[in-house]
Amino acid sequence: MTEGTMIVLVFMVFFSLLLSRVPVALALGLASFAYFLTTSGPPMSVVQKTAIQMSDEILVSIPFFILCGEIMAAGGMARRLIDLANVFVGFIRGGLAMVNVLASMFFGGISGSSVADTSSIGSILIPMMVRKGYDRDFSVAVTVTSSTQGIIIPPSHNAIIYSLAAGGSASVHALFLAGYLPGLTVGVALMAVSWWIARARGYPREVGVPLREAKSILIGSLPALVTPLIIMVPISMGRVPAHRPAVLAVLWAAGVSTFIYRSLPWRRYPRILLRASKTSGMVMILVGCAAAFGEVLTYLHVPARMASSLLSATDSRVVMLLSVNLLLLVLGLIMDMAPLIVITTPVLLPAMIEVGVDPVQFGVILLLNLGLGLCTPPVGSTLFVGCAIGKISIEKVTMALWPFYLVMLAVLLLVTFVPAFSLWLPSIMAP
Amino acid sequence: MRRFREYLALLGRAVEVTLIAILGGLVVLVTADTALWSLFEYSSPIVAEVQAILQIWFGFLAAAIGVRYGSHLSLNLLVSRLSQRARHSVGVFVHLVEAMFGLFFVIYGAQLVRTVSNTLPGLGIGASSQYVPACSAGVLIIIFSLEKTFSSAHQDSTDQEMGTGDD
Repeated sequence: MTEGTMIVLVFMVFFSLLLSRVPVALALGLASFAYFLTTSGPPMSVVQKTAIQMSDEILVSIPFFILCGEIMAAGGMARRLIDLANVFVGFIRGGLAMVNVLASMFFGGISGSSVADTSSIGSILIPMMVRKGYDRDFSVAVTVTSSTQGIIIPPSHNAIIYSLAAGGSASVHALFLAGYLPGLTVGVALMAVSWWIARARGYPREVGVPLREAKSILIGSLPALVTPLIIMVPISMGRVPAHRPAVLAVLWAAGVSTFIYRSLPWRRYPRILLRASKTSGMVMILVGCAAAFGEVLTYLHVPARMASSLLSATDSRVVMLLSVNLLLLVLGLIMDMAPLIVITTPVLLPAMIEVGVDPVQFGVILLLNLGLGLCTPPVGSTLFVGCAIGKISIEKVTMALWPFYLVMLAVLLLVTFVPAFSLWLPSIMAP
Repeated sequence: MRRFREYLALLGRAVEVTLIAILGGLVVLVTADTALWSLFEYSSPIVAEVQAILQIWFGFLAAAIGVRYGSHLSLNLLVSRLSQRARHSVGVFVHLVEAMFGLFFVIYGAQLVRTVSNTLPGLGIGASSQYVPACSAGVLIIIFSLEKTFSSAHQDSTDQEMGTGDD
């Protein structure tokens, strides 16, 4: 069989399984088996590559980050971060919407998961916003879009998945640093839109928090605010592998929730561990099978072919970057984030490097694009969670999402065409 | 049949407890390793090997439990537009494909265990032990996916008897 025929076969198996609702990880694994079964290569390579990838030292930080987020959500840290955000921005018109964005910035920056962010922040703030007279669709829209900050603001487990998929060309350390400025810009832009809509619709402002109360709220939320520092300071300063600070963050979150806040009794830990196991295990097998699939693609020279066909399609770097963004946005509409990272990275990254895009910058572009996808139907896990909490139809929220979506697109364009926007911080802190 | 289901539920529970233990174990292991590394700048190769093996067990067992609860990420875009009966047939097909995936992991995982002959330097055990979880998870995936296939088929026949099938 020729190489071209093999490529068609492998992708046909993969896409037909995918469209039949076979889990993405299994579809990747089976497509890899299909390649080896029709060539002289040993099919046991699929098992070997999957196992080796799953044993990668860095990968263990994913369960740790997810576990940390679960403990923080269950241990009342989300509630304290909302109170803190209220001190800072609650008094502005549309204050609760601002609180929502700022709390997501704090919480998402810690948990690194937009779904965890939506469910923990949203379950408190959406009902509160509706009670205070905010439109339900607006309340859900602001919750859903603001939670995508967690994907970009470090520590983000999706950045770790990208780093693994990029085969070491983008370090976790640099990716974390690169996410700060774009993530904060998304937050500020969302707050600006919220304020503009709040003014137009006459949404209320909250009563300012008295200084003494503000002090006690700040002191109460300090342990929660320390969590991202536990992760980020060692990574930024000493090039420590991500799993070491990640495990310390787990211990810290558990210690604070159980001993300081006294809101998480020991008996609840098995359930939290199980939930974190299920979520992170799903990601680990996905990353493992994607590594096997990536190897097959390399044997078939798919990344090189893709790079050369993209480069031959246009000479313009601008057109190519716009096309890749468009492709990622469309794919983000129909597929979830983690599978898309592992599938598209090995295929698109070589072409991006060819046109001079830094792998770290491409990582941020990819995460932002796919973050937008999480807020859009028909496949948007964050949107679904938000709608379920807000008890509102997806159609209604989709209409309310547009202003937020547009500013996020503007930030995406900024990240795409101004490399310094994402690369400046890594260039000074991780030269 | 009821007893068989009870055994399967017990098996699922055992896998869940193992997963909790492994994740807890990983937290303890990496904490100890981090403490050693921070205080003495020493990282034991034995710890690294145990961690790698635990991660592989964790990933594969979580994959198996994901099949049991249908919690793996999948694309529902096309199937959600089909009629209920067609969706049901696709569901059965997916469970059979999952079983096939498990079977491949059993066969080629076992082949790998037989083939790999080197030793893990720290633990002094065969490196092939790293691939045992693939076989075990393969067996579990087959069991869980067949369980779902049969319960789907049973559900279908019940629906037909009650006249709730959707044409």
